[in-house]
Amino acid sequence: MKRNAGYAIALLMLATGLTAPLPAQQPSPQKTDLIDPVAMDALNQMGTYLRSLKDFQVTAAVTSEDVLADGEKLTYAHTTSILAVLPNRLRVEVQGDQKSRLFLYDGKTFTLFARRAGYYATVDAPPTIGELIDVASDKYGIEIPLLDLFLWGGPRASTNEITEASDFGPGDVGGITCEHYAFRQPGLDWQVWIQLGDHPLPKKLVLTTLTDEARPQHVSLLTWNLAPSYNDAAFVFDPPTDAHKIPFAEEKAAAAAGSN
Amino acid sequence: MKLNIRPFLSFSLALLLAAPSVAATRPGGGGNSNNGSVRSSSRSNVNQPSANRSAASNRSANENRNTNVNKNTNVNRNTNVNKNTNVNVNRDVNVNTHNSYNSGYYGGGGCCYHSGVGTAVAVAAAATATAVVVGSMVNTLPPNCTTVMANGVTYQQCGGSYYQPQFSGGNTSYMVVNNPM
Repeated sequence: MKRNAGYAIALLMLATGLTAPLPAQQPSPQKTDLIDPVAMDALNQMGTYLRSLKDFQVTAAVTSEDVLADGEKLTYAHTTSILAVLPNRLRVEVQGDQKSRLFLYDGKTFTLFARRAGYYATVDAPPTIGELIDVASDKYGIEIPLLDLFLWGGPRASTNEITEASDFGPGDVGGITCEHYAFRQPGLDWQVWIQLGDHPLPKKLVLTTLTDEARPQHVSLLTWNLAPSYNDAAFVFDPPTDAHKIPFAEEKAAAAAGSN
Repeated sequence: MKLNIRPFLSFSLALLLAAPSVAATRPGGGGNSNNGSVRSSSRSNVNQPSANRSAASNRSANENRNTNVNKNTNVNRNTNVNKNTNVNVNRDVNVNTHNSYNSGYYGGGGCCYHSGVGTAVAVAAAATATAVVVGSMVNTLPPNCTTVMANGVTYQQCGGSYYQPQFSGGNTSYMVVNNPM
């Protein structure tokens, strides 16, 4: 009911030609009553549990959307497989519509391999996955896939950005009973389905980007393996004979190229 | 009455929402309004890394908002897609130039136009060479390229042009370079 009333007001304001922003996009600071502590607790418990994992394997079936210049949306699908051994080993394989990528990190070097093009780049890497996430982003403009899984429950989770948090009750993800939570923060609405029981893992994530009026969505269905088997070779790049080494463009150059 | 008002309000809303988008997304005017360019992509993570982050207790709301700027990395990549289109357009221009010289030749006939055609081809080739500016970045290569190595660095040779592949924001892009051989 509350949401309907707000929608009606927004409709009236727009219909009468007022250019006031939508209430949803400008959360005012006193709206702490919009944050359900049950939802925040669940998010924090999920984060704490994720941070307790020493190693894990997770496969994500992902769909993402691009918005074209005229507002048309395109949907792409890919599968992301992660093998993580905390704090300093990571293997990520991305296979999908647009590209095929392999990310490898062994605590010393970071390699990105583009399978179809046959190109790879290798650089010295910082000593932890957490630092790698920052260096990859800030220096090379590369987003480590599913980096949320490494940031929730730590000091760098952006939970303090949340302006609304709600519990929408039970949900089913692939036959597993979950609790469905929804959060709002500047520029992003997102939902998470957290597995009930002793393993409060995120089973499904839906991110709705608000900064484009077309609101492109990103959906991930996560399948977890908390007892992965692996050896050291899984994190070391052994280039195929027909692969060619290329450099990473550093972020400043990449940004300059993008702005041209 | 209520039933009549509702569709009217919805229609007004649709108009108001649609109007700015039409204005904002037709910058060039004419032709394909999309041109294959992507204006935004769905954000793929809730949390975002930042080199400038401070301890959680010291974080202010403003700093968090700065973090959102990183999300624009996606937009940068999309701009590169536009550049592809530009490269293709340049090539088309050259082909058209070529064709017009050809038709001039056939129209005129006679022996003496032979040298004229040779000049035209040379001009077209020169235009091709100068159309790719050294130091510029493209996301796709022209056809018929071969991988060449020079001093341990990977290049793509496409006709008389050389491109150095690199990962830019996780995507492969190519910088136009001088002949490294």
